[in-house]
Amino acid sequence: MKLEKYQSHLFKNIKEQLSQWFEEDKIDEINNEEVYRFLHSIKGTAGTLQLGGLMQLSDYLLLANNEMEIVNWRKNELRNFLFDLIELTYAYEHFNDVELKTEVDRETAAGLIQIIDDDVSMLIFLKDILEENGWMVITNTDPEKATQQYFDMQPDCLILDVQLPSKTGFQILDDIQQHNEKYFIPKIMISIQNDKESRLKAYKMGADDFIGKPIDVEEFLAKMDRHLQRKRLFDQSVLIDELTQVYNRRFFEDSITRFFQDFKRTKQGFTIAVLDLDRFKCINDTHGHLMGDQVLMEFAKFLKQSIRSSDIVFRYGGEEFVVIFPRASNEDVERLLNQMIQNFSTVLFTSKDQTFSVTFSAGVYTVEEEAVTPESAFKKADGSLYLAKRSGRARAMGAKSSNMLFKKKVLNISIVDDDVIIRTMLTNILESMELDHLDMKVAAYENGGLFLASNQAKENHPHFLILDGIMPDMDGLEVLKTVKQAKNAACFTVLMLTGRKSEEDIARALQLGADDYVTKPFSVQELQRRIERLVKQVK
Amino acid sequence: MSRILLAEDEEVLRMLIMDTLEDEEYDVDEAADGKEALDYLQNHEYDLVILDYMMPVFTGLEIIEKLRGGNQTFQGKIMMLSAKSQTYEQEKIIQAGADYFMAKPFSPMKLVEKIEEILNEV
Repeated sequence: MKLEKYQSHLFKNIKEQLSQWFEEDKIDEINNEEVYRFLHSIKGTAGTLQLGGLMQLSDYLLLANNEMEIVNWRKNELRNFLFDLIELTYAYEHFNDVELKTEVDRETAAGLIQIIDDDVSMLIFLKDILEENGWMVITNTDPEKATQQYFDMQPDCLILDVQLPSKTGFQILDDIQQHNEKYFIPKIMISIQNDKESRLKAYKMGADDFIGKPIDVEEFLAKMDRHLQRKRLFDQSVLIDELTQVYNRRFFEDSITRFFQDFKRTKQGFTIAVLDLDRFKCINDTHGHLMGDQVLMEFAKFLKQSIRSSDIVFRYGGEEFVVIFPRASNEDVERLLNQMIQNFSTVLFTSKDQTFSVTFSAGVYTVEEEAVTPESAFKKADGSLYLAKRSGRARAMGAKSSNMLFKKKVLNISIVDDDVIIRTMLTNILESMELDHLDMKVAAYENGGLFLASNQAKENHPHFLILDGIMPDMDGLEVLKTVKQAKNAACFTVLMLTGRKSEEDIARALQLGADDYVTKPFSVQELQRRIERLVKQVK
Repeated sequence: MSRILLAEDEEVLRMLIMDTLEDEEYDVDEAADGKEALDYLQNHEYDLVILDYMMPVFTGLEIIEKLRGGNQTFQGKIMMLSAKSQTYEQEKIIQAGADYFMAKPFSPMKLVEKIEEILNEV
């Protein structure tokens, strides 16, 4: 039975409601009864349309809604409350393409979970709740592709549905049985068919757990936590990065926690430096991955030789390293690193007949206050690294040198897109971004005319503009052209959202002065990273 | 040909059920709330009435009471759709006079099978 037609009708209704709530100026507040009816209607419909994830999410939101006892919602609060639903709607509509584009950097992953299920809304729902818990998730609907990806990525945990279109979950278990014996990867089966026979079969085929649908979210998360903990314990026997022979990221996470504990006791500060090889991708592309590995090995060796015996080097992932300097001041480390950058640039590498040298950049942060967490300390060092890169690479930057760049400025951010889902989603992403040095003003417009007529468009503040390439009436390129010809053209940083196949449009956008582009459909995480990068550029 | 009345306030579900039943060549009227359903019931005869539990104006339960309560003599069969899947809720619905109960969410194919079964009995 073909359900697509009804599914898209449901999504259309959802969009209409969101547009009415969030975009009609007449509405200031939204009565909770409307919200309740909206969620209730989705819940009642989604299950029958085989949108299990959407049903579970709306059920979850209904429960949360009951507990909150809100009578009237302010627009932004409601948008925040419904964000997961908005994101699911977006991801669902674009999923097939997004799936192809999901690239996960395995080495930097927290815990990597692979889910195989043919109910796409279920996939998105599970992905969301798992990612909220700090895990990374890859998803597949196609069993063949899924098996391939399982071998490529070696996830920390596998979740698979029993009933799949071309192959059953049992057959997939059979396919990976060989692998099962060599590696420890917990495997969990989920199924709407929750009878003893299916459960026994699953366990006999090598599944570690069996969960019936609809899923009890709390129980599911508790189980996942346990499975991943066991996996982690297993993996923790490995502390050294195989290629570079320095400590690995896992050990860094443990070490930094320990350093913070010691700091609370002894009050002796320490400094974290995040180091990143400059233009490393270029080295790989020009000289090949083997040469790239050579550079990484040499760099790690150089680091170990250049620091004190009490300092510790970690490979954080890819070409990124972290060094912890106990009892060292920000200025000292910054000075040392700048010297090291000089020294390393004299090391010569030879590939075939070519000789080249490599530089690196570094961001430094010193932990001196108790209020700082390991995450925020790393983020601050990473932020300084970013500024070092932006300031021309091959340099180290600490709190002092990067502070001089910080000035609290107004940053206008405008989103112009005819799709309400994208407008609401981006508004939410942007409003929840933490940018201490900027005073952000976010506005969304459904067409170029409204944007160009707005006051914001004429102001002389830096302006970050996210522009949909294809819109009815006035398309994005036209808006871009107008913006770039205006008196305040220099204020604008423009990110274009373009169709995947329209290379001509991309070329034209760049020619007209767009600073970057993202092809639709985009993965939300990818877009978020891109936005963060561009917003940081605004000085 | 069997005549069916479908009363369901969720637009998308109503569309789905209507299309499915019309594909099976049933003669179906559709109502989007309890009031519309009652209007149809006063003016037409039906072999089967499919009622959603939660509807505006009159709930499915209220309609059943009007059809089966007192000295009313509705001859057709009544099926109730509801997300309230607990046994005591189901019993309440059957006691009020519904002949069948279908828990939401249901598979559209299951619904058609059930309807065929009911109408064959008639």
